[in-house]
Amino acid sequence: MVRYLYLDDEDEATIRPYVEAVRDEGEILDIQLESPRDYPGQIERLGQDGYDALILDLRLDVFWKGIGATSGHAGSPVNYRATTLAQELRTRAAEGLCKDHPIILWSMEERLRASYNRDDTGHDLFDLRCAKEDLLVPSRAAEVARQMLALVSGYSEIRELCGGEGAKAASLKKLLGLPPDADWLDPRIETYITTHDAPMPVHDYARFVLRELLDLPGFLIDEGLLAARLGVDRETSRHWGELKRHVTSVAGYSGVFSSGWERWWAPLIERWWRELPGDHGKLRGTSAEERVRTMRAALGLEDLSPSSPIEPSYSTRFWTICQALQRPLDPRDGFLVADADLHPWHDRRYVSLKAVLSGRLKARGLHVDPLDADRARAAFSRARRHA
Amino acid sequence: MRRVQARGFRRERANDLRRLADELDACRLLRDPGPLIAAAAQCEQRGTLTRQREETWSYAISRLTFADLPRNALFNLRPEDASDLLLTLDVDASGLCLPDGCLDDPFISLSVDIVVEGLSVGTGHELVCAWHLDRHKDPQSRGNSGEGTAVDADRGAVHPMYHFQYGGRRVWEKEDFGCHMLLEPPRFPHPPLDVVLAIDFVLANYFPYQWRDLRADNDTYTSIVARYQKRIWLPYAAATASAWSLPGSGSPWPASVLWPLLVG
Repeated sequence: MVRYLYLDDEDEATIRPYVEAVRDEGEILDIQLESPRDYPGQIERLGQDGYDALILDLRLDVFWKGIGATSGHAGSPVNYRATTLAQELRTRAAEGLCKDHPIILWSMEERLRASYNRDDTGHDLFDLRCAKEDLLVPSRAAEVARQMLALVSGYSEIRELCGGEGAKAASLKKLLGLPPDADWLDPRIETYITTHDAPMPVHDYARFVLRELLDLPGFLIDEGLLAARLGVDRETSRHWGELKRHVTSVAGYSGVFSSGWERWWAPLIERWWRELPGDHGKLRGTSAEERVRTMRAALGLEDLSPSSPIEPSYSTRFWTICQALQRPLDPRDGFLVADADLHPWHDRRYVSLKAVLSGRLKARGLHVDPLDADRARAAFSRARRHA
Repeated sequence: MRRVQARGFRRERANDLRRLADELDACRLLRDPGPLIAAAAQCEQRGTLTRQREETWSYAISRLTFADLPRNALFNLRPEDASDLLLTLDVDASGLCLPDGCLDDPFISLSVDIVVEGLSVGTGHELVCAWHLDRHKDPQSRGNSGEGTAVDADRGAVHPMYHFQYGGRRVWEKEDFGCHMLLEPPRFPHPPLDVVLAIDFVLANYFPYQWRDLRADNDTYTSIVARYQKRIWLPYAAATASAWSLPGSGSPWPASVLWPLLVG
């Protein structure tokens, strides 16, 4: 059984639906509720054994109605937030004073927007952030349950592979499920490990893999991007599952956290495409229709439908997705999203003109990159004139 | 070349592409360096062996997109209402893993497309301007002229081994050519361009002020370009000079007049 300890200052009746929604999706997942204690007492409690990972509500200092019955203590209102607690735990783990556990943030969406999203300083402390409201959607609850289990097993794997003597590049490849002779991985990813003389805390390795490889597209891409690059409409293609399984066998990510984050290696997908039989062009340069025709012929998967563009006039040489509409997009028809702190191996993200015109960007926290601002303004003006 | 050396050869070239991507991204001359990073990963992978069991390298870059074209590149633009211009570069290249200083042909295959696409504001029609450079797939060594030029075996046309021509697939697949007529010839002999030299060519022609600043201020960029000029243009120049058995010095033509992109 994987045990998560969940600290929240709200009353049990309010938060129990979220807990049960997730717990019911993970057979071996147990979530134990507790109210926050005074700071020294809380630190002491978290230094004890008895749990594998931690869930924190963002604002532990708002409501205090207690979960005294489950925690066995009277409790009292606290004046610290999750970020404060998480920072202390990470520091203590780095110093070897306590075990390094996965830490997850659960909070109401409005509080995430009002407080957490505005302050960058705490963003590296948590392995996963969830809006509580989303947990009531069964598919999201199932995904979060998988991720929570993957985090615990992943931390364990990292501890085994990278702790103790200092990791080498070979350890990183092993961590990422790659053979030692995988010769296409950007060396700047490997040097993240090899430039550190002493072993890093487990949560630092975890943060690197989660943030720089799994969350942001680049060498690893998610299912939405996979479908876009293969030009396939997932909703209408009965053979999508079979195609996905086939591509997974040659390019699937099997490294740490893979049971919670389904990803594929972009360079291996391109290599797989090049080796497909038939006279076909480069994956990036062909239309969705041509890609689907090639795969039908090469793999015998007849029930694959090409994705449709967001607008009939847009190209079908999909390579990315519109971040606002979450639909396949040829970057030619999009505008760069302003993204700070990208590493060289990260893909640039785009939004479509349709999304720009719809005014949906701000609500999603998206802004057009200054490099594309003039183009966006000109396209916006043209569209308005023709409307 | 031995396998271990070939691995180092490919890694060095892959890292040059990554460094180039960094430098261009920092100057915001590339809209998206992704295709260069992907090409680096591909270049580093072990390629197919030739029939003689020789090691090879390759990459295929599709639609490397540059920043918006500056106004000074749009001088004499026609039609005048062309707008929303986007310049992309495609490079397909492969070659043997050859040691530095080798004067053999550096490529097994090469295809470069420089494409500028836009829209006519007045008509809404798509506009395209495309230049294509490639390595002739089946060069004949001597034609009847005795001048040593390659000849197209099918049509008898002069077909220099490395040549530039207007058009390419992106233009030929269009249906509306306005008052323009497309023909395959002429094919201009031109030194080959890998992606490094193709990028330098594009910047020199379409981003001239930024290119001059880059050449003047950025040692990393300039040294990468110089290295690939030597690897790719020196064999070509040596082959050209061998027609007259001339050394480089003593020529009435300063090299910079013939090769304005040369470094130093």
